[in-house]
Amino acid sequence: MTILETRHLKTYFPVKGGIFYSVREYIKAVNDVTVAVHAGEIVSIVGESGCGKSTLGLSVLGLAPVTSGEIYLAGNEMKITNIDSWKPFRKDFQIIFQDPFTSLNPRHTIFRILSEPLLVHNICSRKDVKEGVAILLEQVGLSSDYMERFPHAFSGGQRQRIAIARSIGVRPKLIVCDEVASALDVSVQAQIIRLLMKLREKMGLSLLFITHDLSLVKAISDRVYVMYLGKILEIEPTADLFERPQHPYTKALLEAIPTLNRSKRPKILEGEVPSPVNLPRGCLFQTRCRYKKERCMEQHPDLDPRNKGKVACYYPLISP
Amino acid sequence: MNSDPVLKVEDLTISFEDDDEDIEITDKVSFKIYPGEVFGLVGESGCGKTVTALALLKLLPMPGGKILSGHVLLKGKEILSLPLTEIRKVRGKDITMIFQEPSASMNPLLTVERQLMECFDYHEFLGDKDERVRDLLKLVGFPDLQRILHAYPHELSGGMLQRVMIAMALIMGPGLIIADEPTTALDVTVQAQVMELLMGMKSEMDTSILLITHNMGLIAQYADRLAVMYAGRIVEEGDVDIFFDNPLHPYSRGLLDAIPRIDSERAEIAPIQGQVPQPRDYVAGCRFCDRCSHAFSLCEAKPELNLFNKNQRVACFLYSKGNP
Amino acid sequence: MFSELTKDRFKRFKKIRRAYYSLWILGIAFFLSLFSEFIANDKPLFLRYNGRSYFPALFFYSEQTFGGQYGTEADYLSLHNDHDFLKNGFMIFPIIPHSPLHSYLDLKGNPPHPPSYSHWLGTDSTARDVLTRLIYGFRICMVFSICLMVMGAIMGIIIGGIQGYLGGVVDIVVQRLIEIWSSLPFLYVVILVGSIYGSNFILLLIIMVIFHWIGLSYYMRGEFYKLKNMTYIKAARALGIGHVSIFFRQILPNALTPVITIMPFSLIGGITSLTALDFLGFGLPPPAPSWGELLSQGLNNLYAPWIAISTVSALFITLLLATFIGEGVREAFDPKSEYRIE
Repeated sequence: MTILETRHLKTYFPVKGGIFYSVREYIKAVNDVTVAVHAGEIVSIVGESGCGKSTLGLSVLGLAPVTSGEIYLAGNEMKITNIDSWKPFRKDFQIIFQDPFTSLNPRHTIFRILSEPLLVHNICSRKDVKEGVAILLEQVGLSSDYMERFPHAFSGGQRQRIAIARSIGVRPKLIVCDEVASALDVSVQAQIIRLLMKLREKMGLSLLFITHDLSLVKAISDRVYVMYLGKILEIEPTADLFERPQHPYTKALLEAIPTLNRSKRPKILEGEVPSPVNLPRGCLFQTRCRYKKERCMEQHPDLDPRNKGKVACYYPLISP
Repeated sequence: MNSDPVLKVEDLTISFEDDDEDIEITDKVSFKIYPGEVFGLVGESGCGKTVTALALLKLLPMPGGKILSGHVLLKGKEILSLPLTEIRKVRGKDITMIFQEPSASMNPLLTVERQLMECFDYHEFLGDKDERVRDLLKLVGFPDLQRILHAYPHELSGGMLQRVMIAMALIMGPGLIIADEPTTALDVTVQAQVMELLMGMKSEMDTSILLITHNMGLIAQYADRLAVMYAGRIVEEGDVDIFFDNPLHPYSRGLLDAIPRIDSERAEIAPIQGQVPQPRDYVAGCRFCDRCSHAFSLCEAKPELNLFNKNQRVACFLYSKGNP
Repeated sequence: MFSELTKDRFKRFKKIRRAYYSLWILGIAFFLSLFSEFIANDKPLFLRYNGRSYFPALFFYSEQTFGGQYGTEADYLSLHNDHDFLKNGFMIFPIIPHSPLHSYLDLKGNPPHPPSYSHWLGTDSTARDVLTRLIYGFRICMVFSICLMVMGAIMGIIIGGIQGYLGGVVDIVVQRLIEIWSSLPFLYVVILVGSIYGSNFILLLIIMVIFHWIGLSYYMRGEFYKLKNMTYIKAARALGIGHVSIFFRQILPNALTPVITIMPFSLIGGITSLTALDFLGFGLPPPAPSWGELLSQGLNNLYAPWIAISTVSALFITLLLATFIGEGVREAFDPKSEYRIE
């Protein structure tokens, strides 16, 4: 069952300028993206800053202004022009944000933060909500003594757990995780990843995991989408992405990571990233690709199935 | 390393004031950095590594930050006891610093040229200042000098800004550059570029680098020696090669096990249970005790940083004489 | 329950001694002034006559109750000197046995009378006790200003908040309306309305409120614009929480910071505005005891300096205390002033 699907999704941000604030250009944050998450899957969207992955995550939930395309939540099509069409699905489709320091209202106690969604969606009545909150805290490994405290008192990792507790309280089917571990220390990251995977087991949760950190992708995902300047360049099952990357960008990303293996020095990816308002004609990656040929400058390649995944490249690295 | 250290930090103890109480942040931190080497200071947030770096240049926030005791010797000369006017001569000239957030380190109202030229206002420089600025910008990889000289910070990307910061750090030919999480705010491809550049500069201008980070990969690739900090103390110190082959302290091992790896086949990441203690709650004995699977009775006392072999030191009772 | 943030800020406020003590002093003075009738009154607090107890300060008793002829209210001051009465009873007056409205025409000489044993700050040009008028005037001043502050705040918060939260067309239209509104000359409106409907406390309050809320609305508009983009608000939306709830329960508690910092200065503004209006004669109608009116008398009777000096001093001290409080609040709420690196 496909729990989440987008088809040719576009989210463009107009850039206004001039005396009359007329629209001059567009930042094509999400530029014709087709993504699918099946029930119980963890799908990662990976890319560097500015590639549009966060915007994609927000768009899917109606939190960013979608320009065109189709979004299906549990098979139901959303009316992209009307944000209220997401309302009945809010309970089933949740999001956790990157910054644990701003995603919790500093003036609310933990109890209030966690109980509000439970009450709004009628998961608990006023009588049992306190117990409900205690159970949630326990599920994410926090003491129920913390209920009356304020976010101020907790570390980044603990706050992220509270944010997770807030999302799972309504028993969602899918959670969009927008760089949830990036602001955390390494050992805390590990704890959060562990927690998410455990919850997936217990609740049959699906995750749309957005990150720039490929090592996290390897630890948690079933399938990976590689995003660059608003487009998807490669889709692979996790193991294949890391062992046999097909797109030159994916390979370059992997090679740039400093590993603990001292004999493998990170390789530098030369070339400039094009400005998002002034995209090149043809393949978006051409300005940095060492395999660039004539054809690459004419038109951006389609995502074609190849081996176990899909690649958008005229000269992919692995033969079929 | 037989030559004399560029920097020698001895028993540096720093505190912060909170509610009229002095809370100890670092506890007798000691290490040495030799000429031409990259020394990594690793630890997670709250361990005190950034505070240590700031203390080296007496840049602790006032009021509140205090250096309770300790020595910092730059090429043999004690700098902590220097008056403000003297310290200012050291900053930017003998020791320079690169910060994490490049966009916040530059004055948004000044062009790159003005910003770099500003360095000369505070230090003596004999020679053509314009030429020096240009040489350094070329060195850090800006081919189009005219464009970059007249650019404002908001026009440049993160990677470019960090390169300008490196140029600024090098302009007076310092003996030591402190790089505090220099690439954390950058994409991984840009990170590779910036780190290569930094390493190149290090060789070219023969400076040492104190690389502060929580990214073990950076240490593995670029550092020569490292020290691991936990809860205000150095728990392990040694050559990088040997460290990654055989990390001694349980925290070091835990940290390495917790990192999700790209290159290895290990799929599981094993988090360290428990949490980093707050400075308020630091105990006198071993501070990793409550999270350590090897804790035993001796751990209630403070473990000293002792020599394990020629190239490694560790502060852990597992390695004291008479223990396996 | 107050969040850590609030507790921290209050702690910082307490550390600023000047502000903290000022708050206590002003607070206690205001509280006491609410009971002005028990501090300064020409009616006794307690009276015993022929074995029965009376509380003239609180209740109306006619002359006849005490052996007089008429049904009008007893004149306690003359009763106090009456031998027949004193044989059968006694009375206890408040500390200052004067009323703000009573003209003591039987004093030696012409009003204004200089300070004396019975009138500690003298009398004004119609022989009314200055100290009493100052005390009652203080109450009126403070009550007026506090009401102004609170009502202005409510209006400013709601209108500014709606502007910031909804943005777009609503914001633009309301903003233009505000601009037109704020170009109205306040003084003329007060004079006009006063002369048509006659001035009184409520009317004056209403007019001042509808001009004063504008300042705060600018701040609130800004705060709401900023806060509605905060991640926790996005999170609240993603959780399905409705707009009204987000406005009042999520954003508002965080937006109140400028309100708290503005409040002391709003108070000062209220006091000075009312005093100025009364001084010009367009404020509260006579014989209301008001500082502005006293100031005006003081100016007209400079040869009787005790009127001007006492009123100006009272004003000065009150405004000074309020300013200290305001500065203290501002400093307590501004964490950026804490760290210096040299």
